[in-house]
Amino acid sequence: MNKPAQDPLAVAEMAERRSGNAFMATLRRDLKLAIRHRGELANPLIFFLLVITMVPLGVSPSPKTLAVLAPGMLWVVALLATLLSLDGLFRSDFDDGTLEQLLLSPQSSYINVLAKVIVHWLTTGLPLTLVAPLLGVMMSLPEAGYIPLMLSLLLGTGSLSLIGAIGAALTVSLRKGGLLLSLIVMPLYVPVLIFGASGVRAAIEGFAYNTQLAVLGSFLALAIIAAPLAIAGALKMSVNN
Amino acid sequence: MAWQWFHRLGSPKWFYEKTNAWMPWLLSISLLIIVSGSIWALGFAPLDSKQGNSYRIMYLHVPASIVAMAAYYVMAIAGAIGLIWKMKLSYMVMKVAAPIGAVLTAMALFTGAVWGKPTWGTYWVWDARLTSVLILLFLYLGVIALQEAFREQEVADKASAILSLVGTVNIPIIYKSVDWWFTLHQPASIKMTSSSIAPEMLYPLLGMITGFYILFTWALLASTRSEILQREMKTKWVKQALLEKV
Amino acid sequence: MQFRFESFAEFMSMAGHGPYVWACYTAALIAISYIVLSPMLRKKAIRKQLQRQEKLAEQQALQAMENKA
Repeated sequence: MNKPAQDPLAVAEMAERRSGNAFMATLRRDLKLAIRHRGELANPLIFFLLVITMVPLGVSPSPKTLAVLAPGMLWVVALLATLLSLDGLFRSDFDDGTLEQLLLSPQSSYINVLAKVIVHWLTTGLPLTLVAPLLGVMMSLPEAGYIPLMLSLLLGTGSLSLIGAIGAALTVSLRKGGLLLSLIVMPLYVPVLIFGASGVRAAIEGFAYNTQLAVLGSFLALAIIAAPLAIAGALKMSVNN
Repeated sequence: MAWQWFHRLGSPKWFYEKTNAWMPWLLSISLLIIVSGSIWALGFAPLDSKQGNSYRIMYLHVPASIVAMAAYYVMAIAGAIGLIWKMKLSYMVMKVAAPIGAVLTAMALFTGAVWGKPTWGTYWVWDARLTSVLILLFLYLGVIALQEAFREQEVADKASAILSLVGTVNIPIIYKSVDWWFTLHQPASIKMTSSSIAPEMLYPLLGMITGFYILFTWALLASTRSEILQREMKTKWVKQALLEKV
Repeated sequence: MQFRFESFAEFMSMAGHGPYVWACYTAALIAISYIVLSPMLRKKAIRKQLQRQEKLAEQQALQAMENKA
């Protein structure tokens, strides 16, 4: 702090500390904002609950049928709930100019973007994971399925937030971006859905499900490395629009 | 000096004038190959012992799906070149590749579904190949929709370049996942293409694949040329090129 | 190499698989025609648009001359 940039190690450390601070600052700010709009926080959860209620009404209330559908249905609806929450991810920051400031700031936009996506996951993916067992009961999910359901959602929703944020960043400057966002993001969700739902199904049928969890984990690792780059690029493009 | 051609490529005018002479050749060669390949495939290729005559659809389905897939990579690479070197021409190639690829994908999907009827007794089966092609179609439609959504061409170009790059990273993962998913749900059933194929059946197939590749090249160049004319309509050389030839 | 069918009717029916095979080849014909024709038609449309603009510009120039006179 006291000695100006001469020792390269010290410079690097300072830069690291600064970007670490930026990360925490963005994280804290966005979390605060999310807590202030508590009503919006509940929306994906209510959506999740509503759609799951529709399934027995539309298909059949018999526990046997529901148990067959449960792993796939819970996963598909969690995916849709994430998708619907994405449109607001950068919207208000884009409208009031915060986004532009964030991208202009000297800290790496990679870190800032990652912080924003993490807050999105904390406010949608994590709550969805936590209420999933409750909805599992409503869908008569067999007992062996609960832990794999939560584990796969925990890993999978992270990838969903990261991949979805790319679409949100691309469409944030469009007035009517909502439907377009789903259109461009959903095909990219296919692998996550396949491995997430299949992990739960494998556990119900009494097989090991660690392969699926490992694959979901590797998707998440890949997404953490690559997605923020695409998000930052897309945001820069949207802001300059 | 070695890089001169690359910089020249950035000039739409140079590109337009350079490709002028190739166009009729590429088109006639590709159509010649496709027509003669089709006649060969329909009338002269031997009968398949398991699938009978319906396997003749393979000569359309396989080339269309291969070239549709290649078209996505061409689109993404062109988009990447556009993003890195800010090359206008490259963005144009990217933009026009999407509809061509989408048409080829739709064709692969249609022929696959119709082929399924005599093979499996139903038009649609969630087979690994058909499912992957369907998702490829969705990826194309996403890029086209994004391209259409922006009013400014420059932004539209950048956005669809980013999306197609993300899609390229995803395509191998999607294909592998769908493959894995398929083996999980459907054990052995009739595969659409047998791995060991008689040479008499193979030659027309290779011919058709080549023909489709050349046709795609032609279509990519021709659409890029129209795109150039559209975007540079106000320049002198476009006016000269278009109005004097009439 | 030889023709694999005895008669033209047999070639059309393809032992029952005719409708499927011919439907696919027709679809391919449509798709290829679309791919081939769409850049050509687009070029034509651009040329027409340019011609119309050129004509308009000429008329305006003429009118300006008349107004001056």
